[in-house]
Amino acid sequence: MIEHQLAIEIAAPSDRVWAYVADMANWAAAMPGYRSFEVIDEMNSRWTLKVGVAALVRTVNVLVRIDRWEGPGLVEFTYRLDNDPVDGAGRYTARELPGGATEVVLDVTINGQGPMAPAWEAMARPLLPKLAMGFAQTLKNRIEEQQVTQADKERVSDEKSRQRPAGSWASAILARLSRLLGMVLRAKRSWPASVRVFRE
Amino acid sequence: MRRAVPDHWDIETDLAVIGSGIGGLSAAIAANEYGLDAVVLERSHLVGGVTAYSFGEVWIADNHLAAAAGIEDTAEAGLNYMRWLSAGFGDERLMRSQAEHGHQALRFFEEKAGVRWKLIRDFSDYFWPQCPDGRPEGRFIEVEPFPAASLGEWQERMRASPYVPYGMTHQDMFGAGGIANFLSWDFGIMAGRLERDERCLGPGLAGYFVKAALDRGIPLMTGTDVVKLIADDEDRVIGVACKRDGEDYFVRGRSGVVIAASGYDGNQGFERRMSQHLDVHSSLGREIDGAHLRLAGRLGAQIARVPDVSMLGYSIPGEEIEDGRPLWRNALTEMGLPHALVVNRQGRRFGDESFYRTLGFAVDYMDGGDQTQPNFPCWIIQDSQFRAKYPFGSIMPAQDLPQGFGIRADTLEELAQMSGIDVEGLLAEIDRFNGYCAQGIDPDFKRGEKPWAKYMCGDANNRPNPSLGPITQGPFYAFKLERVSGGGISAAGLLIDEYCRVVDYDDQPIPGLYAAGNSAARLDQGAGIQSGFSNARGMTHGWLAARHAAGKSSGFPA
Repeated sequence: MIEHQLAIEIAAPSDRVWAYVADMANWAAAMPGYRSFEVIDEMNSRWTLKVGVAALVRTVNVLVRIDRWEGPGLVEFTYRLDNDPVDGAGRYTARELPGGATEVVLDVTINGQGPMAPAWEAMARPLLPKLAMGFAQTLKNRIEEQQVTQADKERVSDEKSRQRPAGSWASAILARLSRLLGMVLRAKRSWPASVRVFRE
Repeated sequence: MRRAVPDHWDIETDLAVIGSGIGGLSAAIAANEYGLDAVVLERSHLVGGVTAYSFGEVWIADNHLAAAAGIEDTAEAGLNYMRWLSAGFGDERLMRSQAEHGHQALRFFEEKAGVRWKLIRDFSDYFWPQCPDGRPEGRFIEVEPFPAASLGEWQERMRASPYVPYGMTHQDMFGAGGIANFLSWDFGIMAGRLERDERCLGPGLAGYFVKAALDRGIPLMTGTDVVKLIADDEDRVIGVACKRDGEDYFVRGRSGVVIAASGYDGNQGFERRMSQHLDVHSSLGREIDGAHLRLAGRLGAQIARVPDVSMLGYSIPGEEIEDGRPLWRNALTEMGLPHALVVNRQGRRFGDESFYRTLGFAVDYMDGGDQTQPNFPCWIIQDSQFRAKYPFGSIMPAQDLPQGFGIRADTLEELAQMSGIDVEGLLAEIDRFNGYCAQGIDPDFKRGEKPWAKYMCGDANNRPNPSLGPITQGPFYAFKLERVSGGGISAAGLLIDEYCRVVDYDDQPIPGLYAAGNSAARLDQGAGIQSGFSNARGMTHGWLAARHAAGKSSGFPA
């Protein structure tokens, strides 16, 4: 088994980070070599990736199963390759830092199976840090882009509200609350059913 | 037009070398050793050329490693073997030059370039014992694992191979039963090497030469596409015009230019017109497109050709090479393993599946009576015993086939119908083949009788014949084979003399112009081929060309 841990700091509060990662399709799309994402059921999905090992590029199907879904701080999953004797597990943890940023830590393991296990793991060893870094960097960029976009919208909205009569303060607060509520609802909609049961 | 000498040269050197495989790097390293400056111009963004894609074998008769191991051989025996192999299509001077200089070049690069050679034991010539001058072992050499980390920033700029398991040496693979017994290999060794990035086979061979060039301070200019040779008023080649980052770039070669740009696998037109191969799938990068012929053709270089054959291969869905094109694998090994055979649309076998050369000539056979090639298309047929025991490309034993790859049927009748193969023909052929398997002898094509084939394409644990196993257990499988290119080893190339000077149609050398390796016509082997010979001649050509350019040649021709 090989293991890799990676920590990144995302310039967004934890609820915004969770709003993005709560949709499993966004995880798959952040993977280097992403081709497609397919929901199998509420716990399982199939990710299709193009992975380069040395000069060979292969399309692989990764079957991902969610084991724990305790956002915004924790997700645990297991996976296996559809047609190769390789499986593994992953853990996502997030915590809000002072100043409104979020630290995300990714732990990933890869297990080769069968007589070729050492070779599979040897091939994966240099690949895993690159994949993890590519994934984390994409995730960070996309969330931070959304954060900037959201901040711009709020700034425009605030400027508009400043131009409105003072009597509209209450409606501005309501608008913010409704945005937050919408975000939470969107996140909940993408939770697997069992996770919803767990959380509810 | 060809004398368009530029107003200025961006670089002035002694020897301008086109290509960073073993031919080009050998020329540059030897030039440096003999007191010349050299620059290597590489079209792609990676160095190592086709050498880095190869199995890394170097075939040289009468070499010092065999002598040290107590194996008797002579250069004359090597030359006689090549004469036999060439079937009359070779050039005596070139065959003699290779026989007499190959072992000298081998020692030169060991001593001057730090290449760590290693004899491959128990690996026979293709035609031993058929040819009396063949040898059961002693002529195949590979390199010790190469520490790629020693390349520094060039580690990531070194070409690797998607075709060969470059974490293993020949000894590691074939000492453990060969490709047929893949699951018996010590993958711990492979894992350790991959982890430390120690490269064997072709990537390792190329690695040693790249390292030697870097250590000598020879510039390796990647992304530099040579588009024209430049000659002076006396028709002497004095430099090259390149495109680099979209800009014109001129390199002067005071002592000449060496073309070592491989063959023309990626050029369908050249494949059809010069090799008479239709619809060939290239297993190499796009850059192997016959640049040597275009460049030297303008200066009147003579292009020569030897009899050559189609190779057969397949592509597994989902596998690609770096530039996004499908990866095509040669079926050389899989065709000759037990429980598999190759048939045409009549369901008939047409060659020794354990020796790709016989199949290749038969595939290209044209029936003059009806203008067809009766042995193409063709299919490899396997039964479930094959699928349970042997790998097929990257598909491991017992692993499911990727969707869309091959045809599967419970009965041979059904398989033939689904594949478009004559049912009665296939059933009769398999019945006959199964009888041969029981006897361990193939009277039709002598399958499994060549010692080399046993080593490379057979299962040593399969008795009595390493290549014969019956096709009896369903489900059965059929895979349509396609023509694939020969890994840079093309039928046609630039005609050279014994100093590796390119010659014109009057058989006169074009001053200042040399060719090495697969860019040079294969008149030093004629109609034959011997694995390991391409790397050997590339290295020897580069060495000889540099010696001549440096004025070091004496006698014949060294």
